[in-house]
Amino acid sequence: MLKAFGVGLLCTLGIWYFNELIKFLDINKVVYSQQPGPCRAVEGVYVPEQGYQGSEDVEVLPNGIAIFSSGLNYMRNPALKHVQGRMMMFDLSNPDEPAKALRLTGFTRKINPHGISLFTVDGAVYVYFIHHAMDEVDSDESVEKFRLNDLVVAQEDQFYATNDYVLRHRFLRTLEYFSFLPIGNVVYYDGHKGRKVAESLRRANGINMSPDKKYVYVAEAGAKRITTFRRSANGDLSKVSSTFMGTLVDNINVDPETGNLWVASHPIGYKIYLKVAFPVGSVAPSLVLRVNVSEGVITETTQIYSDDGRNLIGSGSAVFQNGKVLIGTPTHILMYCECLTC
Amino acid sequence: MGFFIRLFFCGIIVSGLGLWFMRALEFSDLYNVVHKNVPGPCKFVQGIDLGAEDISVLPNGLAIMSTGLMVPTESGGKPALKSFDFSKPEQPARDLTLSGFKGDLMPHGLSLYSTNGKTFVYVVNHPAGLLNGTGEDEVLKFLWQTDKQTLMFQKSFKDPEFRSLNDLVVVGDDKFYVTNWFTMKSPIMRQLEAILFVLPLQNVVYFDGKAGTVVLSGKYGANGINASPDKKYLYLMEVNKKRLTSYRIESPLNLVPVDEKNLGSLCDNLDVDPESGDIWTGCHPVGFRIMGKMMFNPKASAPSQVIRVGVKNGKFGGSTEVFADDGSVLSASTVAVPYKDALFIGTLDHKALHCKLTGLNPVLKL
Repeated sequence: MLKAFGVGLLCTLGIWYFNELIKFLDINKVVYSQQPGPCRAVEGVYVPEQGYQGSEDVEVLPNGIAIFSSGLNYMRNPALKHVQGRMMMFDLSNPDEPAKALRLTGFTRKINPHGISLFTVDGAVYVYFIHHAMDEVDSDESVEKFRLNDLVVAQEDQFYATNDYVLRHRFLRTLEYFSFLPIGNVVYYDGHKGRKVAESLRRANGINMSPDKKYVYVAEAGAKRITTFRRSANGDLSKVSSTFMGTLVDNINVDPETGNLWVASHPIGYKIYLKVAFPVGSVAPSLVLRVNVSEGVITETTQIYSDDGRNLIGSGSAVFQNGKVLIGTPTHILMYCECLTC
Repeated sequence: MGFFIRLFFCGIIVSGLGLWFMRALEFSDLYNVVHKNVPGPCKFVQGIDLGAEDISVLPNGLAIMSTGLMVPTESGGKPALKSFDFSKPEQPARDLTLSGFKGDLMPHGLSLYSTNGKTFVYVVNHPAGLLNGTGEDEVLKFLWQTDKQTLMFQKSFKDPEFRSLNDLVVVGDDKFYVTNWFTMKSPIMRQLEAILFVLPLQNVVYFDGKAGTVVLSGKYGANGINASPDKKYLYLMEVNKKRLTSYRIESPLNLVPVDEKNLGSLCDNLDVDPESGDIWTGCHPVGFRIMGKMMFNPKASAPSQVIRVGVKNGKFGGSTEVFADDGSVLSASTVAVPYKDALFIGTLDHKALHCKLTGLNPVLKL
């Protein structure tokens, strides 16, 4: 009896001590405020009364025009039924002008846009984006029946896309997230068919390519790491490196001048999962990093923007051009910052 | 046969749970990655290679620092008090000559006190070495003769309540608050005190010029200490809980708790910007790395970080990270002192950095 009590007490003390030790070892992360310079919200993006919100994936053209997806209903959550999916543009060279919605012609269905990729050929700019149809069931057999997140166009109508999760039901998906199983993948669509080119990824989220098209960068959100691949001409990928970022990496943008990666992320894991599960009302922190990469290997990471959620909720993508940084979020505003030390 | 099958499945379950638990911990930000962060161009301060654990700056830009805290006596390097001029940052830090002091110098936390046109330097001294001995720690008082690069020894303060001292803040003539990093007297008990860091055993002592009284007890580690510019509020870093606390000084022995803030990092010394009243602190952002360095491998590097905390009337506002490095450039930062548009970052036993604050967003409200 006494022995049981003693063991119990020791176990309790041991667990309590271990817990304190874990807390001491940085398990309770604090997110500080940091802006690279003066920052403000871009007008016209976040107007919740009208169902306008979010700027999930942002990309910018060399002339300063940024295109982004807005009004994403990630996981087709009924709580976000009122949200309007839009494709929008913002001119970095006229930052005082509000962002404007782009009018879609020749496509009558309501869009639910997610990852985007811009592709310029013969002076024409093509915008490819992932669309999560709200009412229809996916019917295209040649695309793997998982859940697409982002894409990057390699050649006209040929692109890489990431599959984030397998299970469709929202509750089961939450379990899937916490299982940390490596069941995400990257598919390559060659213009006719899709095929898996990288497997066993822990939640493949953002994807992009080096300016010389030699390397493909994938954000493995479930492992908080960025994995790089060397790309062959036929689209095959072979892994080069995996680097732990310590923050849940979302979309990746590539600065065409330096090849640097601009990565937006969710620095406190449990907070972004809560935000996804309960999208209305909750707050998640933001963290934007500039990542230096050389021959497919990450050499340095620099913190550019950090917020505990009071100014920017759940940063999902970031672009840099001419000393300006644009930070997009899945359900909140689009943030425009000047970077004084970039 | 049945036993082995049960054992096997038990093993699988335990391993599975353990693996999941470890993954969950990893996911819950146990593994903190330090990303580089600089507020502007930074340069190493010449003349500092043995650390600059604490530093304090005068309104005219002249600063004094404690160096060589972790120097082992056999190494030949000497602990010293040095001066640095913010208006000539490319000039190396210079040794200050001690006059009238015959004892052993191993300086730690320091505090400046100006009165009647004179500047006095009060500094924690470990004559028997850091964490050695059984209570020989003392506070030394020097008159800083800035034109002669000399510190003229005035007196030494000792008290039974002075155990293992860390930092102090002077609030009046020979009146100061000093922190006890460890309260146990014997080295063995001190080891135990370190292992049982989860217990609130540390304290703050108020010395009134003659004797010391424990004024704040039951603290989770008492490391950096400082006061608001008007000396109405006292700030304490309870490093073992990574939290900053503030007290209103109703009277020297009556400290009323006002606010506390979890900084999420092992912050060391606290400096108060005389203009804004903000608290700037040098921190160790990855717990296991600084502990590993101090307990097992003193030659290892540890990451560095500088945090600035807004505070008004003892109430804490927001916090911002001003500097961060994974230890490859600057190792084990302990203190950060701003002066005009520059910042001095001191370390435990490495170099010191002088940075220009060009990236500091003036509009950022804390």
